[in-house]
Amino acid sequence: MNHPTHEDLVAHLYGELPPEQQAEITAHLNACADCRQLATNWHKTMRELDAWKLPAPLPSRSRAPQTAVYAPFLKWAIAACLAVGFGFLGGRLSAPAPDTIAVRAEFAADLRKLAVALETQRTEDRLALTQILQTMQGQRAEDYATLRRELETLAVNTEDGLSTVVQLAAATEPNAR
Amino acid sequence: MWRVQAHDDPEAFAAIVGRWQGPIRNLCLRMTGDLHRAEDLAQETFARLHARRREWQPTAKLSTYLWRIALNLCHDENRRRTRHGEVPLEIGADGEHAPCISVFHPTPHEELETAERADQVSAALQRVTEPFRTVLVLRHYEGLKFREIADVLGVPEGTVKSRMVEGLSQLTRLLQPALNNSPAANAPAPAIAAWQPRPQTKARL
Repeated sequence: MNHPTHEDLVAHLYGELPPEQQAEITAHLNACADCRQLATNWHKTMRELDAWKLPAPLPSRSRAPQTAVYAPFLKWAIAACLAVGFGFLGGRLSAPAPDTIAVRAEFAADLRKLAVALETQRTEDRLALTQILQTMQGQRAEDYATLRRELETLAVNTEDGLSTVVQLAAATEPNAR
Repeated sequence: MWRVQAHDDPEAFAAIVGRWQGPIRNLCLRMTGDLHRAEDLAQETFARLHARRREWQPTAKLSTYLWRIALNLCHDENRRRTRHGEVPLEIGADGEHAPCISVFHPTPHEELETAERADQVSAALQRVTEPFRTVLVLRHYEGLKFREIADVLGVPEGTVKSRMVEGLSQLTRLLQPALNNSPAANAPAPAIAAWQPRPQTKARL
């Protein structure tokens, strides 16, 4: 009796052999107790493997549902932004251009009056400033002259005092001997 | 994927993540047995996919590329944990000295019983040597064909089948005490005439 290889037996258990080979091995298992025992043991192990079922994926790691929830609102928000943007752009483009010549003529007279007023004010300020400077210069000259006179008076007085001191020093006392 | 590669299209990348996040995370969980590490590894897988998007060849299948990245990350993670003594060492190639999973003690509550069985299977699977565990997970849980697993791992299809045989053998030895005490073991053996191969499970891929 030709026993199937273990590799063929495993492939048979997982149904990966061609149909005729599957049938051939099935017939062999029906007839061979040793091979049947081996296949039965492996089959039990395979059934035990099925006992390990995995838990569902952690929800915190999955971001797809959040995207699915917000997707419609996001679409509507984008649509609203586009509508407002196109409306603003259309309004800007469809508005008539302003008449710059008329606007300039309207404001020209006022601008000229304003310019004349500013020039007058500046001239008055300049005159006032000149007067102030002249007054300050006259005051300073007068102060200088007064100071000079007082210094000369002081010098004369000082000279007279010194002469008196010299005379007193040169005089002798009558009862010295 | 070509939109991601050529235009850095974030929506296209989000679609890829949405499509493959579950399977990749499940693969990482089966390979590491740790839910939070699996979540981190799945995210790292997509980060690495994005970083290496220029290296992807349009002729290659995206799924194959993704599986490969995730498996490499799981391999690195398991090696790091083993080096730091976080997990018990896997059994040797012969499996002779491997400690068996403790005997399954049924409880009155069916849900608790199912959870215990799942824990035992998970613990046993983590003790299967990694190359064999990889094939077991990809074939049994992720539903890849042996040929597809060969493409992902870059090995011949015969090698994949050999690893599957070794993986199933190791797992059967590890689960033997539990199998002898589980309700499934007490059920009558399938009738010879009614023997049928396992149905395909790749519907969701």
